Amino acid sequence: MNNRLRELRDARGWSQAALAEQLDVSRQTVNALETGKYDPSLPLAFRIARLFGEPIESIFHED
Amino acid sequence: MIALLRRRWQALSPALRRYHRASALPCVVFVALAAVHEAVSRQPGVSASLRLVVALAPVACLAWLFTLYLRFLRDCDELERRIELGALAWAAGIVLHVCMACMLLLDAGVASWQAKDVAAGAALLTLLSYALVRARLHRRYA
Repeated sequence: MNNRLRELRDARGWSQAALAEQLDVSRQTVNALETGKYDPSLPLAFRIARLFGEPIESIFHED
Repeated sequence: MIALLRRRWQALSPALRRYHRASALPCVVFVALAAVHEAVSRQPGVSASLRLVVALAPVACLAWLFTLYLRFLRDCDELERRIELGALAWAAGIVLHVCMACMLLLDAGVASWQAKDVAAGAALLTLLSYALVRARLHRRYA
């Protein structure tokens, strides 16, 4: 699954650590999400969508 | 060296830092109780009931440590939990196979190991396989 997490984070000027803190996850998790090594659970995907104010399907999409 | 350790410590997740901090005391107590057990179990005049209590005291300490680990599993984030559960599953699977092989070899009379050595080996193998798989999974998601 691909995502626009890095693009959205860069647009807000946040570091991975800052985003991790807001999502209540580790920096490793944010990095794994951005590099596509890990797909988030539905609750985490909802938290990400809520934080960036965008629908889930505009952030995450299939390969 | 201290700066490197501090950086590594800061790179850990808050849940893992909490777990390491909380587990320091049970680890120290475990080592102390294991040393007491080693000393007492070799004394000739010690009663069986005291030997029993001293022998099981380190296990109670391990249970304390395990409770802290379960709390860490509850508090950590989903990727960390996935890594931990993956490492635990691999460790359990490897040790189950080795224990089964040992049991069958002993039963067949092909091997003649002491029960204490087999139990100690199984415990060490559990820790080693958990640590190796955990490190590998962490590298995969790094």
